[in-house]
Amino acid sequence: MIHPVLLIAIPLFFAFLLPLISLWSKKSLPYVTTAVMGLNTIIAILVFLEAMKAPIFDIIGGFQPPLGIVLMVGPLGGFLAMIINTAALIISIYSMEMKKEPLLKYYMLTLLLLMGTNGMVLTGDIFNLFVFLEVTSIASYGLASYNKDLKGFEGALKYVILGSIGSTFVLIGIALIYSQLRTLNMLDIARRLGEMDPYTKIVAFASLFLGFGVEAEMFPLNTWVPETYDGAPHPVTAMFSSMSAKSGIFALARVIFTIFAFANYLWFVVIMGLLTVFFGEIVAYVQKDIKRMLAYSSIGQMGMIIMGLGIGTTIAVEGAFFQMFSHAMGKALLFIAAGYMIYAAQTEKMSEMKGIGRNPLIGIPLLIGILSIMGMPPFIGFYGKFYILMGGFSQGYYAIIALFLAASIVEIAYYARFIKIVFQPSTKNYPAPRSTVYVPLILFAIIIVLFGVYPQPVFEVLKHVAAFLAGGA
Amino acid sequence: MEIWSAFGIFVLVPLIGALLSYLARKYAVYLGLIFALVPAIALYPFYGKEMSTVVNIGVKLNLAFDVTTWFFMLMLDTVALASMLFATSYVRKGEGGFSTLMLLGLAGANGVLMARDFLTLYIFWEMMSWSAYILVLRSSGEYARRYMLFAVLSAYLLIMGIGIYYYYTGSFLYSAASGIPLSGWAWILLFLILGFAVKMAVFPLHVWAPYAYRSEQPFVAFLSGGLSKLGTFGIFMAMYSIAGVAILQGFGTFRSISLFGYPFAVLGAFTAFIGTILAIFQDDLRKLLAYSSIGQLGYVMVGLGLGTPLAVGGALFHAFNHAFFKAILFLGAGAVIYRTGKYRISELGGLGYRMPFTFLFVLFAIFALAGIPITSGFISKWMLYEAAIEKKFVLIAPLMLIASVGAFLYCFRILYGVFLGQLDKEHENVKEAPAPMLAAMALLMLPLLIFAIFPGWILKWINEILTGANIGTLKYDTYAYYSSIGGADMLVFWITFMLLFMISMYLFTRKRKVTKVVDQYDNYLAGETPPYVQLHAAHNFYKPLRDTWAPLLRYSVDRAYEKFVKFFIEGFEEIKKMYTENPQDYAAYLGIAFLIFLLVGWWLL
Amino acid sequence: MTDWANILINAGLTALYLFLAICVGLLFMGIARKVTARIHNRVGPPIYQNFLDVGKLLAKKSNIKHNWIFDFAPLFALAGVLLALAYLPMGGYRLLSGDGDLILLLYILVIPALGFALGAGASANPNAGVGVMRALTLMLSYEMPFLLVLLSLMIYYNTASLTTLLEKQMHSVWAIDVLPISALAADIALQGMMMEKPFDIPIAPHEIASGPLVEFGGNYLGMLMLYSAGSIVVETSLFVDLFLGGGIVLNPAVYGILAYVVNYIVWFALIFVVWMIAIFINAVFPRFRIEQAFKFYWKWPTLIAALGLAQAYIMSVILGVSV
Repeated sequence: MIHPVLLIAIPLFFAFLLPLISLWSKKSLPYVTTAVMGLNTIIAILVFLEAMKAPIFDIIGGFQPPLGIVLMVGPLGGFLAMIINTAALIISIYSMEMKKEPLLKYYMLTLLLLMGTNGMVLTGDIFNLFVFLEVTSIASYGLASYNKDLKGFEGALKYVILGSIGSTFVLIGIALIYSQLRTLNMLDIARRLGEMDPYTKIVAFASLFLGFGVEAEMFPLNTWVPETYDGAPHPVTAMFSSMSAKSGIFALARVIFTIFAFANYLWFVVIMGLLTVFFGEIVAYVQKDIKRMLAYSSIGQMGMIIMGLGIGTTIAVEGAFFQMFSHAMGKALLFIAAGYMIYAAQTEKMSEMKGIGRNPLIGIPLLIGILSIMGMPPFIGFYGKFYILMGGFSQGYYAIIALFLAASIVEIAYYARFIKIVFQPSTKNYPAPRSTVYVPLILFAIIIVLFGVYPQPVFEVLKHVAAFLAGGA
Repeated sequence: MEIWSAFGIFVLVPLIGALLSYLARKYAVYLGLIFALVPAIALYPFYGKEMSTVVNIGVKLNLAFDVTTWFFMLMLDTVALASMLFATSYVRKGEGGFSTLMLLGLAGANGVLMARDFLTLYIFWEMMSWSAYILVLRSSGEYARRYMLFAVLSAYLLIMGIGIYYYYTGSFLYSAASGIPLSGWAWILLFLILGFAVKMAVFPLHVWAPYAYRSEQPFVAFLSGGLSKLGTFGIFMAMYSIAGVAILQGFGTFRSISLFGYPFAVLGAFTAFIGTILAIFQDDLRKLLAYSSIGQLGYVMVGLGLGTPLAVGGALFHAFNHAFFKAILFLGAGAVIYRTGKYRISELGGLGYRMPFTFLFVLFAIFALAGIPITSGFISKWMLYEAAIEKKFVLIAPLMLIASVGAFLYCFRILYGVFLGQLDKEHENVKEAPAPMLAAMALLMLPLLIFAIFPGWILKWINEILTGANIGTLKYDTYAYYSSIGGADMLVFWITFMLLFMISMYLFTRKRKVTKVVDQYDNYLAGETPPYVQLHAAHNFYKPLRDTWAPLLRYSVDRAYEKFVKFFIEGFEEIKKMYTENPQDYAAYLGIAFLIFLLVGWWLL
Repeated sequence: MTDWANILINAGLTALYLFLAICVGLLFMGIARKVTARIHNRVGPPIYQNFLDVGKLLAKKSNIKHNWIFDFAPLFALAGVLLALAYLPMGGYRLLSGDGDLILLLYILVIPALGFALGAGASANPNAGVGVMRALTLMLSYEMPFLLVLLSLMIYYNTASLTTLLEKQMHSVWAIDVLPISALAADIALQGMMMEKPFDIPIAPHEIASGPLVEFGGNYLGMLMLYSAGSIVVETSLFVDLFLGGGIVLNPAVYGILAYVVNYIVWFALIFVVWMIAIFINAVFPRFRIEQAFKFYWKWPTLIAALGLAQAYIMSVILGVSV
């Protein structure tokens, strides 16, 4: 049996091994990182297959919490870990584009980020969740300002401010729970939640909801997103949207469903999700820079996932998880493509990128990515959106869905504008993409099409959503 | 297993063709032709077969094949075949995109026709939409976004309808419709019909069409001739197959017409009128045809809304005719554009002498469009008129009738402006369109001619559809068709017409000897004009009429939409200001959010 | 056998009626010229002048030719108008009108016009183009009231078949007695349909050199004269069939052959009256401009026709009168 802790241990181990390797050969760093991530992906797949049979509960090294690491890997957690690792692997290919020193730190931070996000989805203990959140955040701060330019610093600073406030709230929430229940194990908390003083419970919930909301890009806690995404190096942006955001939203889902099963709070989550979608899509529409537009669009997509979680029926949450998958793949693809476009056009302005997509190596994956994000079948973006909406209908949220669809039309509008610019004929000559650019693009595109045409495996996983909603792993 | 062969032939084969023609770009157009040919020919043995299956790809695709599907496939696949045939000379060689996307669209369309649950319908519907979007993008990028937004609007309206259906039934299956209250049905049908009506470009959801129809003409022939019929199919399914006559009648009736359908019939008649009036004043050939499409599909909407056997039968028949004649017209326009590179009617002229076959086919299509009885175009219009008149609808019938008179105006504008009148010096050496183009148009002409002589053949199929949906039956025999107030016999018509034509011919040619053929400048002009001045009177052809209509033409739905959008974008700019880029504000948001979370939680406690 | 005999007899009779109709048309043209001349205080040509003209034109041997589309015009025009005549009951004889209804007739009426317009367009003379444009605009103008009138009749009598319409009028009263408002609108529309002043805009001889006709001469013009003779009968007879009971005063089922003769004479008298009204108006009015004609037709006659339609609607639907 494969131990899920390896998913956390391997990146951590190699993160600290990298300086040694760099002494030996600096050039091998990217390959080592990619290899580590590949290894991690394989392990993640094995762990996932294991978890599909039965949820894995494990306490590492015999230490009792809060010192030891408690792992709780259900099918969904395993699924998410697999998504995160796969995305990390593919993005790490694109990371080879990075030329700016100090590369050693870059790869170390990347591995730490992977470790943190893996930890967040795998852990079964809220204090560990906090720890991994901090690891993720700190790695993210470092990566966000990696470019060492004004934009990077500004974005990173805002991320630091909001992220640390969020972490503090998480800590407060955990403290409140611990003070009353003397336990940190999620399932334990869930079982004994009735013993808590209701007011304390509300405060704890609000704190946790807020804290993870920051990471999950929930309105109005997502203000850091556009600038941080904009200032960070391109591969890092892709990682943020497909790794940290996903672990954040999964932590949020854990808070909502596994820990506090607040049925009557759910409509409020739906409203928050709707607001997130609304503001994300609307502000994205008026953006002129490609990365900012994608960042706001990312907010919109996360809002949709939050909505799905808030609707709370099996079909909607299935949709939400499907959407996490499709968003991780689609947005990573778009951010990588955006990275290439910015490099090729030497500007972030979309209006300067005429005809850049006419190279099929960029254009076709880009088109597939955008269509998937728009929710067009037969790409993976479709199923998530459709199921979330149908879940909403089955709960009778007609007006909310109608508003959501209106916001979605705005999304279509700006993506269609982007497509038009990117594919219109132009005389400009752009440098051809290197294999480090188009290989990840094509890999993502293949995943998007493959699971879009044949989503059976994903739905097989999502059968476990009902158990998750009932408070399981 | 038979259904598998149907699914394979009509959906998978085009999909495979799409993939292959993308990979083998060099032979893409021919591959496209072959893969469009397979479903178009394989269709015939499938007549009258009924079968269904479930394909599980993770979601369950419920597919079925019946005579309705067959009837619509007949028009879609034939039009697609003709378009692909036309495209073999039209599209640049070695370009994979066109065939790939056309075949994707065809697969999507066939999938929509075979779908028997909403999820499947939606999947194929969107597939068809986005492939069409990229095809529009290829040639008229400027307006592709408009098409996309309306395509998505249509999809989202469908989603609303589907969602409400799902709320009541907990299933996507068409057959699961039971126990839905009438108010539920009202919303479901409203959303579904509006969603499908976007594809049919029904007023006021028509503004995408004039722009999208400026793309590559073979594709537009498929879009206008074929894909817009999916709207017809969808509305037919929603109203008469999923809901059914009993539920429609449950809304109350007005002279035995469902009160729910009646507003849509009025909307359709209004669309027919508006589309026609706008078409009269267009100078861009493609835009003219687009508005004409809008108008003609308005007729179809009337029939679907009225819901008597005659009306629905007429609607289906008219949709069938429209698929063919509008495809010929767009292909004809494509041939003209291909040979001259021009699309403004006022810049063309006299091409009928250089492109006689193209002219003949277009002329014939125009006979069908105008409803001249020598084509089947008349019969479908006749059915729709009589359906309205026998129920004594004094608003719908005159609107439809006057719209068809208006159709003569723009029809003649095409004929005169493009094919007759004076040939421009520039076009002296224009050649006839290449053989594949002519073959494509000839192929499309056949049904229009055949069903004008033997209307009973097609009415038999339509009758099967109508009885299948419990709407009622038509009165017809092989040559004749009847309503409760009248009828016509095509055999008598044809024989008399032929005899009289021969008599005229005899009178005319009796004393004719060798005649001197003169050129176009040898004209009676009261000795006023030197021969080198271009005297093709096609510019602003209906100016007097236009002047009369000018006060009304100022109001444009187009501009209303633009204003609407502008209003929202200004609002968006305001909302953007929320992201102040000031961390202090952001921290404050966090605080406020926490407060709200707490308050809500406290309130809910 | 009797079946075939019947068909042959019918065909022969139809041919006879068509021939007579063309002759009546030519005669009417001559009468019109004479009457107009008398009103204008001129002498005018003899009444049979148009027979001579047609004979002369058709007898001409050679001619110039523009192109093959140009040749379509006379063929389509004459064949189309004969077809329309064949579907129109004349003097109580139903011809083919049992095998096609008003809507079919309405569209058959378009065939000759379309053929004519095609030929005119093919002549490449700008005057012809302008003329056809005016003709089509005029058509859009007068069809508005005319269609409303047709609708009022079809609603009131609950039929679209001319045969049934005539029978119903025969058994009760003529439609003009029940729907006088519609009849008025129809007569105004008829003036435009016949392109008599003030609506002779499409062929305005002094402005656009006879418009669509400008390039046609000799053989072509002869054919087109037959066409216009036919259309005079079609248009007047349409009015008579719709509103004046088709001139049927004796029931053929009772009086047999005598009824046909009498009815034909009455029918002839009636179309003569309708034609004379048109000619009198024609003789004293100046010409409208096309946009004036359009505005006129979509205003007053349409209003009148709408009133007539309202009357028919109220009587038939609300009061439940069934004829």
